[in-house]
Amino acid sequence: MSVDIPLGDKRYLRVYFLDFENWTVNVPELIKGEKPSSAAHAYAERADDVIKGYSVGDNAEIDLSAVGLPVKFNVTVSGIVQSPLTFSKNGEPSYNNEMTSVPETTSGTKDMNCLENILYVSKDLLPAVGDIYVAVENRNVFKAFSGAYDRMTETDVKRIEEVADASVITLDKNYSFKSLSAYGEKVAGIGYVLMIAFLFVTALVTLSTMTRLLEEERPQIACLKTLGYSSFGIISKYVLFALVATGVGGGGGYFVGLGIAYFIYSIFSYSFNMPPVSGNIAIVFYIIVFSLIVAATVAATVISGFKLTGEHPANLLRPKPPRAGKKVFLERIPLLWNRLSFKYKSTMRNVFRYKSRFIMTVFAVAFSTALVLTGLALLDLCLFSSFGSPEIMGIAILIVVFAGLLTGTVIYTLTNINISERNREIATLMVLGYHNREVTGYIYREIYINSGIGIIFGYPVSLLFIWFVFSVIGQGTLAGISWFVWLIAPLFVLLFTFFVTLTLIRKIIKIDMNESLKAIE
Amino acid sequence: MIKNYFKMLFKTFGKHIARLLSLIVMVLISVGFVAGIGSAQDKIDYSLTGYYKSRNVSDYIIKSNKGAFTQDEISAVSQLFPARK
Repeated sequence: MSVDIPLGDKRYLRVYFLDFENWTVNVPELIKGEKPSSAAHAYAERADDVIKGYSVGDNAEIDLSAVGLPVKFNVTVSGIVQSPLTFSKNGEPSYNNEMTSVPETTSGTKDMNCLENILYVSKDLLPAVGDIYVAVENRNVFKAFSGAYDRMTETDVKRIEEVADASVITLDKNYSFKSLSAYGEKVAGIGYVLMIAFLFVTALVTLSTMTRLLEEERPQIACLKTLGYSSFGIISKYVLFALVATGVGGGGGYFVGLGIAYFIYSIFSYSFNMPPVSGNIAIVFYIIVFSLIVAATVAATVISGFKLTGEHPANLLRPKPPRAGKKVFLERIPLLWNRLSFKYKSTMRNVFRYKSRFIMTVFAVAFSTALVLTGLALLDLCLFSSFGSPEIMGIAILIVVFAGLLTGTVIYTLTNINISERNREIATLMVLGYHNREVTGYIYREIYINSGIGIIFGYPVSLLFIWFVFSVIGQGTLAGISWFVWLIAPLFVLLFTFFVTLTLIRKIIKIDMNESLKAIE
Repeated sequence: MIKNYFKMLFKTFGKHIARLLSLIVMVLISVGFVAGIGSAQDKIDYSLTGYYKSRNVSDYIIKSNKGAFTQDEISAVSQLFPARK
């Protein structure tokens, strides 16, 4: 038997009447104190953000006249417990709420009738049976609200209501269970679209790095071929390179992932007295992602490797003729083109010379920018709206940090490759007497233009991401995002680009003109 | 030949060490993020399910609409769930 006694101001005292000796379902965890030894003693629920709680030894007077029962008694609290039915810290809704479904967010209980205290007293004080608690025999069916479980409860509720004049509270209507499970779903929902973006960018840059590495080593590959190395032998070196890069990275990623999972779990303790963390590690997902990255990189390396080794060594020894700079669309606008100085004209032609590389860079930068923007938009939602949920805010910070790190490494990787493969071009400029500033400017102008275009394309991509994420959590609108978010993200990316180019200046200046130029002649 | 091969291998790795490291870091970030976010829900679900089992959480709380159940109602409900009461 349990009753909610109104205390005024939307607050209730819940009293459970039960048999302390035969307590088999919803067994609470004893936090402090001891088991009640007589009907004069009681358990009280642990205090949280809404439940006020009692201390061991406190006296409580219970008057059931407000719920129509002429019963009144005193109990002494002998123990503090944590019930498995009410582990949310943001208020447990009383039975007295007009509602069809329980809220799924931590702010959802704000305007509801909630429990101010819960007392567990002996059933001897009120012998009537007002509640029946049923724990189904098959404990494996639950699985965090699996489809089978939901279907089972639906039929059972109908069967119960046929034989008794009663209402059934399923776990689906239990606020703690429902909202924690719903938060888990939200985190995963936010994650899915962003995961795809993370993997897409990484795959794009990794594959491009490997194929460009092979391309750069054409003369060496030719050399090895003439020395009698087999194609397999030559390629194996690059496959090993790819395996080390993705293997070490992916292997370490397991521990990073473990850290993130624990971090998310611990953020949830802000709103829930979390059940002990399960030692069961969800490894299937990780293995799929890891093997996909490794397989894709190795496959790309092998394919471009065989393409190269299939060529005649003599062809490989000759440098690939640089692609001719074509007319770019800007040249069709004489008004603009004629005003550009020579250095900008050459930059514009270079930007569009290798179309696939240009598109790859723009995509990678656009997606990373969009990830940063999405994280910031989510953070903005948590900070500046009534949707103040620490769970989602923690995720938002996580996204901003990881998207930022990804953007940084992507820009570094692409810039670094860009400089390496243009050694010869840079050396030529140096031999021609260009100053250091002019040479770095020549390369970096191009990189800034690429990043800039990437950032611009990042906006439409981010709109899509943000729209998706907002619809998953059922909160926030694109129009509601603070205006400065749209400025911070690109500034962020530009700043990253700036730092990367700053650290790589040395690499350009130190290029050995002699070695770079004679290598191929 | 084998010795030369390894010499060559180390030379290639050394020459492109910046590229190798940046790839490692990038894969570390992405795989880490994806694995972490992807397993967070599983971790919550496992823990919730573990809690449900260890505390023998009730699936149904049947509350009488009239204040108390009659003996007939109690036995009728018990018959629906024969193994437990």
